[in-house]
Amino acid sequence: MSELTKKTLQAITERKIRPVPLWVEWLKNSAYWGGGIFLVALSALTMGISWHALFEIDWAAYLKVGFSWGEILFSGVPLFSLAIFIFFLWGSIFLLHHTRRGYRYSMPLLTALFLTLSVASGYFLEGSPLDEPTERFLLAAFPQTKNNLIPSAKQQWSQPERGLLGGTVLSSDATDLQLLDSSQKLWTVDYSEAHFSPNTQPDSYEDVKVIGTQEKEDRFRAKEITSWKKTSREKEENVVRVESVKKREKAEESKKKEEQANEQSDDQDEEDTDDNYDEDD
Amino acid sequence: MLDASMISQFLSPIEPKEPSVSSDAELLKQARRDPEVFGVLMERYEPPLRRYLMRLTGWGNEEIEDILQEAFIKAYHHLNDYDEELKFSTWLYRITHNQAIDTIRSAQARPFLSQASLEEVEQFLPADEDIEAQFLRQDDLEKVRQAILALPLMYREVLILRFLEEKTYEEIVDILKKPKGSIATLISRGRTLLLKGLHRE
Repeated sequence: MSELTKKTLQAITERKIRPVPLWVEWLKNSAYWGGGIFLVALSALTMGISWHALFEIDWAAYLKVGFSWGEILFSGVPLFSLAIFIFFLWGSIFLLHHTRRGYRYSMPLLTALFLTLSVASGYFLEGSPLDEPTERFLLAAFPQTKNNLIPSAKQQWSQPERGLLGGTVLSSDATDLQLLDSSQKLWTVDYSEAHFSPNTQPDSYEDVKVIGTQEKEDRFRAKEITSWKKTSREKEENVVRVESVKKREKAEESKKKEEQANEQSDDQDEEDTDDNYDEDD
Repeated sequence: MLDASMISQFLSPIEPKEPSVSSDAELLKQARRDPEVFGVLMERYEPPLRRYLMRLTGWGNEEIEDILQEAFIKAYHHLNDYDEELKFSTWLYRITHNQAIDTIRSAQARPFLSQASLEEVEQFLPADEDIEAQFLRQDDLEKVRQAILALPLMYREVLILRFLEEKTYEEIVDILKKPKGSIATLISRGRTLLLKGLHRE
């Protein structure tokens, strides 16, 4: 037995070194696999969110109202979710590269494979029935992130000062329509010179996207009106929103009428009192 | 002036003869329960690993023994992580290589052979060369040795494994944990760099 072997065996005995149990080694390797697969799933989810945002945005509308390419990039491209996607993708590649035989595959190959996998599954997720529940879950779980950091049609069509206004029609007459935007603000939209896209009617409860110019605080002149397709859930929410606004309006109207009636009766009383004084005189 | 054929002669393959995989497997089974059996495996692989470390680091016996001891301890500690799809020697080379790289990094020193004695230097050279031929070509061998040690570690390790340790591409892939394409590229670039270095001298 060589000196080195003797010394090593002595060190093993003195340091009480034992082979790591098989199940621990198995668990360690499985953790790399599990972590990698979990991160691939997360990267597919973030890609799904990015696809959703990319499909939701009306890119032509940005160009029509004169946004620059830089502005379009920062307002329309979901940079935050894409950054998170890249992080998850990198993490999944790193973990799977560190599995027992993951090193045999080149990083560019793994990157191309996982990128394709995530982008494709994200795309299918966006178009699948899972899209709406996922969207609802994300809104409930990360409302601030979802509303502020990921571009949405709602954000895009809430820029009346830049010529983009969207909302639900409350009522309409020959030239104007009452529009309730996403922040519950009421707008009067002059559509006398507007071009309507096919299948677009300014009917009550209809969701529309309006390109035009803001004239006053609550007045907008429309150049182009397009129907805004919404999910069934969003439509239900809109009906509730509109009904509550209508109720509020009715209540305000009847209150005004009451006040006017009160004022009128007060005036009448005053006149009667004055007449009485005159007669006394 | 050295030419490519001379260099490849210097870098010609040598032993080690691999012990049969099945006997390694038998010993491994027993070693999981009894460290003394692991000693047999250590005895078996000490010479080729010692020579590999000498070639890779250019360090003397003392440093190499420290690396080897730590590598064997790690191998024993992670015996259950041994991937039976690999040769046991490949797995041991991997652990030893990683231990050497860690030591090189922690020492933050560029390896040089001045620490090694003359006898130790001989181990660096192919073992089947006859002594007379070695003396005749000592100058050239010294040049090759210096040129290899002057190479960046990434090229040095693949060239040593491929040409001096006579490992296959697949084995190098498993030892260095790099994809085959990267290994091929490193070998090709390493050879070019080695030739350039030798011609400069």
